[in-house]
Amino acid sequence: MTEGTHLPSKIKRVWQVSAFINFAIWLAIGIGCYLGLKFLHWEWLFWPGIGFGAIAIIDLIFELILVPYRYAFWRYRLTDDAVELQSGYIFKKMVSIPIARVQDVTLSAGPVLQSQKLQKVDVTTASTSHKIDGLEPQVAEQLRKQIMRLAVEVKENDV
Amino acid sequence: MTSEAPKKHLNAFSLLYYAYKAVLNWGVFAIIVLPAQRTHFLAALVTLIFLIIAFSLLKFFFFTYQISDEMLTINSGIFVKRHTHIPYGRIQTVQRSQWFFLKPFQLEQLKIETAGHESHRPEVVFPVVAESVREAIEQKRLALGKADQKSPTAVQGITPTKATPIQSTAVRQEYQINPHDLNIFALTSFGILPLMGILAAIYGKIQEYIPQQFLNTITKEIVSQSILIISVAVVLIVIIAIAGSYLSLVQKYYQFTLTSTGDQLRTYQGLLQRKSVTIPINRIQALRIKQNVLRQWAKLATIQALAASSAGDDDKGNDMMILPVIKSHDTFDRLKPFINWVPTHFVQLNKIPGKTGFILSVTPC
Repeated sequence: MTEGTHLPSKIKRVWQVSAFINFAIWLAIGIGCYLGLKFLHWEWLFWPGIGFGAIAIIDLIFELILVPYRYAFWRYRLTDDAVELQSGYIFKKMVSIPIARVQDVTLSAGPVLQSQKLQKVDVTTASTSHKIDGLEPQVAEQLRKQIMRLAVEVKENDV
Repeated sequence: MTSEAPKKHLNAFSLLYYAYKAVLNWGVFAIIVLPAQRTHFLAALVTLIFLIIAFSLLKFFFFTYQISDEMLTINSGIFVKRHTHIPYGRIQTVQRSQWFFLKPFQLEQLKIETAGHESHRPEVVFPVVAESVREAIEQKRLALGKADQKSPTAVQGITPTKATPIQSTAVRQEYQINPHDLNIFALTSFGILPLMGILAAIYGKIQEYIPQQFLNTITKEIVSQSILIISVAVVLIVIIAIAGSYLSLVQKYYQFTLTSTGDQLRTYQGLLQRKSVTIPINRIQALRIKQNVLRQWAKLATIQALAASSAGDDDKGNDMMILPVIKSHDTFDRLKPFINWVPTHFVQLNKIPGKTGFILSVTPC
């Protein structure tokens, strides 16, 4: 499927910011270990501290490198009766969600997404929940409307 | 948006609910932190109380709901804003529970569930809302259902029985548990076993806290009677456990009522906390009839409805009770008026002759 739509390009910034937030969390744990070692003399914290610090840096580098890759291959498509999500190139994954099966839709936005005026969309079916990392509010609204329309129409193969 | 319904807040009583939840959540934290702060104890306490109040207020302020024509929308979240949209047609069960002290205010807790896979908790929880909210939702749902039923019959015109409007407000069938059955039900529960464990643990803890010296003097005096003491304690624990489990079950299923209104089943139960669950009949995925060993001897059965949500008992396997207790032999006769697709008799399990018969006959076919 090459025809789908990319996520809005602002999502790259969101991913970058969240990469830094993850970095900060890992680093905070690492620093906590270091402080414990320094002031409380808990010697056993030496290797965990190094480990967390290493994880922080490696995680940051990889996430930042992967941002363009993720962006390039993450596509979605809204058809009349399905939502199609595709991601990855090496590990390709494509999901089609029949809209008639959707149970509820949740739009959510944390501070980072809010700053970029994007919304995360969670589409829940009876078996799984699929998330689209960020959409423009108009698109999210359109998706929501479409889902609601079909959900009201389709009664036959109801759960 | 096609129809923008007004955003409404919960009842102000939810503030108390949020505060209560916050106290529960942060209580452990407080217990750890507060005693260490001997110098700033008061300051810490005040900060904590202030935090709880602020948190409750914010949560209350950001929780709004909209009842529009096609769907229910819930907006919530302090930092992460969430908007959940649920079409009325997707609602599986509606659960209400009302503590006795909320009854005069006509307030209740409302939980709405869909078949969404995150089934451990309901999709929507209204901690405290006016009873009218549920009525409004129910009405919207019924209106939607009716509009939907009309269209196919108008086109086909073959099935005249379907075309007759269902009297959805009139009660068609009703069943109320009789006190005698409830007594037996409560007495044959195995709930006493865990309760006994808890009581024994409490007893052990109490013993730990009694000062050793006091204990020593006492034991010296009664060392000869220790067997008596222990047996009295055991008997006491058993009696309290039985009474406790009996009372809690009677409280829970007090005046259990099952009504069927048109296409919905509804249960009412409870003394202190009145609970009610509503489920459309065509959303019932399966019926389960079960008996524990004691109830097999008493020839009593329990009937549960399995839905694609997690309505019903929080603690007992998440299934909705339809008839907590019923005589085994008229199980199906009782069920028939409520659910028209129940089987008419139990499946007979045949014993397989031969040496391996015992093992094979245990597995039901």
